[in-house]
Amino acid sequence: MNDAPAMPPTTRRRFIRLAGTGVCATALAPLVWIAPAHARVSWAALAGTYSVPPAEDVDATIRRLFGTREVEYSDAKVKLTVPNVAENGAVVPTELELLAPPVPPLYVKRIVWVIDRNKRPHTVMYDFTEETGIGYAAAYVRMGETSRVRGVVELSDGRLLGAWKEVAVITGGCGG
Amino acid sequence: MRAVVKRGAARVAVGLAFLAAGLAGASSGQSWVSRVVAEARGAIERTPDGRSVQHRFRGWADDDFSAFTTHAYVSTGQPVPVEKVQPPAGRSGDAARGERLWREAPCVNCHALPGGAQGDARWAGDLGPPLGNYGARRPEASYTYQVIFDPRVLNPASVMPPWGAAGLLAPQDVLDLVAFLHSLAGGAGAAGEAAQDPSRRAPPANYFGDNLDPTRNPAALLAERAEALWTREGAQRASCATCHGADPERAMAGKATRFPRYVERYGRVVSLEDFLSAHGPEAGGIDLPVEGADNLRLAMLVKMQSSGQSLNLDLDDPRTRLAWERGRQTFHKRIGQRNHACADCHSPEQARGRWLGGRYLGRADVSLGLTRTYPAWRTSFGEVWSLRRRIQWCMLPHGANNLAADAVEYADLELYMASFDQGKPLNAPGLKD
Amino acid sequence: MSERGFVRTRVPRAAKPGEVIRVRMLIVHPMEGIERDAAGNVLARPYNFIYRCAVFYNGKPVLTITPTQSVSANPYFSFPLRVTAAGTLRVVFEDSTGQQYEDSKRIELA
Repeated sequence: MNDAPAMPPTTRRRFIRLAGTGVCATALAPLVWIAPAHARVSWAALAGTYSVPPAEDVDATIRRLFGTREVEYSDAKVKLTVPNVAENGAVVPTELELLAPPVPPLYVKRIVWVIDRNKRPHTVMYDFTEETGIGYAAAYVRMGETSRVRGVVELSDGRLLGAWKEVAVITGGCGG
Repeated sequence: MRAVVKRGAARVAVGLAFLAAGLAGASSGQSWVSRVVAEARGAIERTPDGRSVQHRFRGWADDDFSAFTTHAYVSTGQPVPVEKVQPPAGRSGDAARGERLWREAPCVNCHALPGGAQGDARWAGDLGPPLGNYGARRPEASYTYQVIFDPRVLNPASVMPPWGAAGLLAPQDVLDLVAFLHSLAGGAGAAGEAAQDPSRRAPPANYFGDNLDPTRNPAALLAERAEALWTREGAQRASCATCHGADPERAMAGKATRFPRYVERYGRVVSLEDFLSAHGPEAGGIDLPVEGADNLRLAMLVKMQSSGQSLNLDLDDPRTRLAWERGRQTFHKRIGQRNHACADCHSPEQARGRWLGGRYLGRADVSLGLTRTYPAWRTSFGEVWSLRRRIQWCMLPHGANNLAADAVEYADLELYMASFDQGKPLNAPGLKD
Repeated sequence: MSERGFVRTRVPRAAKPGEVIRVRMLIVHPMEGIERDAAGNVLARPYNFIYRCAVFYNGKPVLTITPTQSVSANPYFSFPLRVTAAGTLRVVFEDSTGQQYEDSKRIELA
């Protein structure tokens, strides 16, 4: 996520003391990892990747996640619902839906959100099973600045479908 | 509950209060004890390095605007005097610097420059006229200088801040802006991308969904959890439940529809949050200072029990009418370094269909009724905000010190605002940006 | 936030066999993003954010979600579930301090 220096300094920013604010992401932030105690969820047995995604270019994110497989972006197949304008970047509601739900045994294996201009475009990932992989997911995401938001759907047969939309983030306003 | 006041005494009390309120211009609320958290008292303090600041919420600027007027009924500070000026002789303006100032001042929040001249600042507003072709009219530099320095000389009712007279911009800054504006000529004029041109933008959709859904609105989730507050005992070993019964829904259904209201024993109008801050200690030794988390949670819990019920304020009571009139005057009163009144942005004439700094003002029109979704979750802050906190926050772009959150001036103002919610269904806690 | 960890899950009380329901959930959590100082340097401290979530139906894992710091504070998630038997939906979140938070909801067959 970006400090958004490209956006003009705003009155709102002036009204917020800037000591240490400015939410951003890099690959270098140290995190505290505590091993789960017993009788808690055993993550090792579950699907999903649990490492902090690196700060990278969005193309690198796509390559890392999907290798050389092409994503077929089609609004006719994948419906991505996001606001055109997000009045703040802190909470941007997003919804992704496969317009033609997969016919069993085909199911949706994974849905990933990618926000192009966040420092770490990889935003959130759902890893489904047959019971849940029906082709819908929603999340509230953070955006640092106006950016393309993408949703990519991976089907159980390996096909990748997606949709993207440009979301404008307003960081200005007199107090707002 | 309380003892019923005898009719005769009540009439005398009303008469006196009416007179006092009318004469003094405000009910001083002498029997009101202010209980407000430290961040919302409006206290002026000195930092260790000698700087004078107003103590506000964490993360808010702490500038002390004591030199300028506030909403207080007893005036403090001075209004910005009107200044007729000439551009300083022998100096020229730098248009490039002017363009930067345009975005920082921020002129762009109210004035669009359609046609791309404002660069990154896509989200301009249209409270003021678009100026993309300003230079083409070949105005006099002295005219432009005066307009920016103090527009009131040319238009006494101007909504635009007196940038020079208030000391917000230095004479050189104004010269630079004049140079920038005079360079805008022969451009696309009113044409341009919809994003740049506020008059062509569609109002944003409500994208948060159901504000009462606790899986969408953290405030709704917190309000549900507030049931624990209902049975929590205060210093006098009493809880809300002790007097009101174990079920908040049964006890409080419809109650929130009566606030803000004039309460005789306090001699003033109180919101539900104000009332809780007094009623809690008085009735059960329960500490509920205004703007504290417990007060906000309990206010949300109580309001949720009236969800969907119409706001039913007593607007006929003569003391309430006086307070409403004071609130109306406050709404229109110009204060602060920026010389703004609430009405400058939030009146129907100003707000309808308009944008301010990329935000749609059209939904912030006071005549639509803006109070019935408060307290509300603000996603941009990740916090529950009462209407008072929202008003205090607005004082920053006014360049004015705020009053205490439970100030009678704010209560009267809230009453005025809430009168536009009269008859409309309560829907709190809200969910906003 | 002192209320960190409140989870609210919303499911229909009952579903017909084979019906696909929508599960909605919100957890109160700061989802701390990277902070920088005035110079733009990353403040080196542990950041507390939810980085994994597991959903079980009758004990069987049916979904994992891996949020990052690009997910909003007090995250909201929603997903479908095909209900073929009555049972208990259990969701468990874990944040980077190792704390786990959970909620369970019963779904009957209609």
